[in-house]
Amino acid sequence: MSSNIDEYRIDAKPFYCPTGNEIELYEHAYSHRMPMILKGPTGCGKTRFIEYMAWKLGRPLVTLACNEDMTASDLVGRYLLDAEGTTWHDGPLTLAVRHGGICYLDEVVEARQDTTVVIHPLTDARRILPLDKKGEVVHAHPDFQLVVSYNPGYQSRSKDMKPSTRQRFAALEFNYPDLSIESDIVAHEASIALDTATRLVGIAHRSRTLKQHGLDEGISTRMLIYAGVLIASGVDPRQSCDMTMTHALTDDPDMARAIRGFVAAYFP
Amino acid sequence: MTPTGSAGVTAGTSTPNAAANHFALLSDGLEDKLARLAARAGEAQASAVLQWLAALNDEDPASALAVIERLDHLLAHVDQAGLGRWLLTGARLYPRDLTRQRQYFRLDDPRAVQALHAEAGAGELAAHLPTLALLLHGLSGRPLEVQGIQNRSLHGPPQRPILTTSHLLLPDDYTQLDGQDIFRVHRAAVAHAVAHLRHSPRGQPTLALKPMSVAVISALEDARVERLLVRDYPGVRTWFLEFAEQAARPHSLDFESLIGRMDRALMDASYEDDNHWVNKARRLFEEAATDLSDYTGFRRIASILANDLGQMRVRFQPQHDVVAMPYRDDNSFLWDFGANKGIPPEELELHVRRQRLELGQPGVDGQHQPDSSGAAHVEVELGRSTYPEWDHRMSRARTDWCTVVDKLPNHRLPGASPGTATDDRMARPLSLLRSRRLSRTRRLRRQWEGDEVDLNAAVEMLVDQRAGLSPDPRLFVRPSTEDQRSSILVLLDLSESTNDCVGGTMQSILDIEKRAALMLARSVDDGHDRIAIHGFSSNTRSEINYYRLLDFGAPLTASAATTIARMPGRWSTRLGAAIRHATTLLKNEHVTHRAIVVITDGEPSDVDVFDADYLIEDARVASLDAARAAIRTYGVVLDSGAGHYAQRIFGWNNYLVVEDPLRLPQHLAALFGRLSRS
Repeated sequence: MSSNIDEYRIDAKPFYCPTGNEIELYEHAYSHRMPMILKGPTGCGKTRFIEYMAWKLGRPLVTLACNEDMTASDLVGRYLLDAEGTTWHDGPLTLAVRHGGICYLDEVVEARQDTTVVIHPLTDARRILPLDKKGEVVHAHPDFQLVVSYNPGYQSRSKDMKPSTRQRFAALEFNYPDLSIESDIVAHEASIALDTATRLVGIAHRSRTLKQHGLDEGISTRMLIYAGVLIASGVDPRQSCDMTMTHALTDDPDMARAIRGFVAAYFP
Repeated sequence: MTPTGSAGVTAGTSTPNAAANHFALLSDGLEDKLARLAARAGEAQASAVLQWLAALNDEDPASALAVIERLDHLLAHVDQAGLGRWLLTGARLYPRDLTRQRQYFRLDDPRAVQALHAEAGAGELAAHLPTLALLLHGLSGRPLEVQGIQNRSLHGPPQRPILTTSHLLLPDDYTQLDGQDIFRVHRAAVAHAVAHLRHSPRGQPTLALKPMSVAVISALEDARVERLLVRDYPGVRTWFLEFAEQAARPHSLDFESLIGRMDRALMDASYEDDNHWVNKARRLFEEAATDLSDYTGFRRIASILANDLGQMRVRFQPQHDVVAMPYRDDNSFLWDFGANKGIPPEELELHVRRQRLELGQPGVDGQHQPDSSGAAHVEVELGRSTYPEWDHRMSRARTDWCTVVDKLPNHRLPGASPGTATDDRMARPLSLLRSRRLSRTRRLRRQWEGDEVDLNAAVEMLVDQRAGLSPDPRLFVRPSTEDQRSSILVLLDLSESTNDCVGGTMQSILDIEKRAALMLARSVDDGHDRIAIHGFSSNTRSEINYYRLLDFGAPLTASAATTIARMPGRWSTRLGAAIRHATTLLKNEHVTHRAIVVITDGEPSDVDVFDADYLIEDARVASLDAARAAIRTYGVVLDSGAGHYAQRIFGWNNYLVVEDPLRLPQHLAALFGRLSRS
């Protein structure tokens, strides 16, 4: 497994439209290999940003979506049985540490707090990863960087990060871009006319005002791109929005009718 | 809510039996019919039907008799609201033609049957209100309450929506004459209100303007802001257009028709009109439309047009004037009529919360008047505890500042509401999500896959291999899931303001709070989760009444449910002290998750506090203290404008603003799912 780190390299330039000076800030942080938290609502472009940065910096990007079932072994690796006996397999984190990749733990708070403690020695001046089961201490490659993301919106309190984990990171906050930038992004990603994209973004803005008034989250940029993609392939705009926004966002019939009202206000 | 219609006769002001006697002369069978209806659909329905019949009887007894004879047939198709709209359709179709009206009410007119079937399929305003409120909030970007105005009068012009800075009131008497699909009328009314909210200056002084000028300026302003709104939301043009087509009556030259024709000409470029004045209005408007934000420019045009109408000797009767388009509001939002002319919208009896009695004023009907001396006789004190209170100006807690008095709930209190005990059948259990979580303590052995090797299985496998047997491949250990246990304390706000009725219904906020809490209590599975229902109200810092209506582990018996249902709403909301007391009680619960769910209808207040921020800050500190004791505090606020203070008190993401109180039970069930697994 250790040989296929190249599989994690990003060849084509991912589309990313900056909303501020986040690229510059990230480059500064990377030059010091500072661990980073990217936080922001779902579908606002955190993952795309890190893909773009990995491409720009020419580093392989090892992504791991965290979940509650995940254990430390899923991060660092484990012994597996085969015909010869037991062999050690590096986990994604170890892979990135050995070969100088960027390790991106998506939705890190979904992992249990005792799992995420394994990253502690990597995220301070030591920059080491002890593999206690294997009896090895991996010294991080000079290019290795750890990046985690989380959405401060819907996690419960017990799923928050421990302060001792959290304080090891510098943070960049993301939000949905401004109207014009978000319209550009949707138009580009979904290959639709700017006018249509602007209307889609308008619908999203309406829905975002209802956050905490019946919606946990408003319509995200990602949903808008889905809607745009369907429109581009010839689906009626109102039906595309129904599929990708209304039904995807809520099961409440009143809320669904209100969102359909927003759609109708933009697409006659 | 009390209906606010100008000539409104309210349903529910008298019992069906009492009022039936009033015109029992009409028909002997009426009482039976109403009694049957009351048994089937409830007394409120029967009473409302009776009000409609009384109104019709005032107009024309023969028509009323015809309707009473056919009442069973009519009510087989529509409910009381539908019946009302059907009657209004008849009255408005043939306003001055008694013969044809009677034909209509005898169902001899084909349009009567047509209208009846249309009403049978029409949606109720109440069913649309939640959607309309969300639509209004989303499109305008600010939370406004949407409520219905009830109309029980057959005469007089049809009602129009009323817009204020905090409310949009929609008439419930739109008939098939206004639009085929009533929801579309309401939707257009919401969009029109959004146009005003976004683009109109409000409360302009009328000064020396003539009534006709006011009407023309308002009509032009309507057209201006609608065009601005169409620029923002291109789709809403079709929402308005269908009504413009209905409103424009060609060839009529009275004021209302001319304005209707102008409205259509300004909205629909393909419309052609032969009237010079209408065309002049269109030309001037289009010239000015290059800069739609120029309010004064349009006002100038309106003055010219109003002047022309004066010279054309078009008569304008302010008392009969009604805005031509059914969805447009009465424009009181735009004007300030001064002290003695008209009724400023804010003085209408809105469902405005927490102003009357929390300040210690006597109740309107004296029924809910606080009576501390009387209450002292019947309430049994169980104990007193003192708590600190946070003073944000000094940035320190005042020690032993508040006295929480634990009291035995007693429903024989003055002002106890009849409660929802009879509605118990509605309190069906909610379906709650059970939470499951991984547990490190429970481990499943001999699994096909897992994190670690099961040593025993590995040894056996090696033994099998050596013995030449095929080994069992289930070699791993993994953690299993475990149910979480939680204790949730539902803390009900029992203050005076919760006695307010929810728009359009006879239920108070308190009734809904109680019902939701009872439904939740019934739904909770005893084996895993524990729930308590407590309530509080405060009468200054020296007496915060705290009622343990249902304690942890106590069975929800019929008498407990009755006690909860009959708790009165009195006094004020000193939230911080109540949260501190609830925290103390919850500390005795030894489970994984503990939470306080506060259900309230507005921000904390008390008669001895005059700084609006004081109790909010205190409640914030109280919920932070609870968090330190690993107790989560969550706020469910039945006030659409609660965003700012709810966030301050409960913290980001720990509150929920419920726009439609009737949906509180569902919100609570969802919340319970979140809290019990968090």
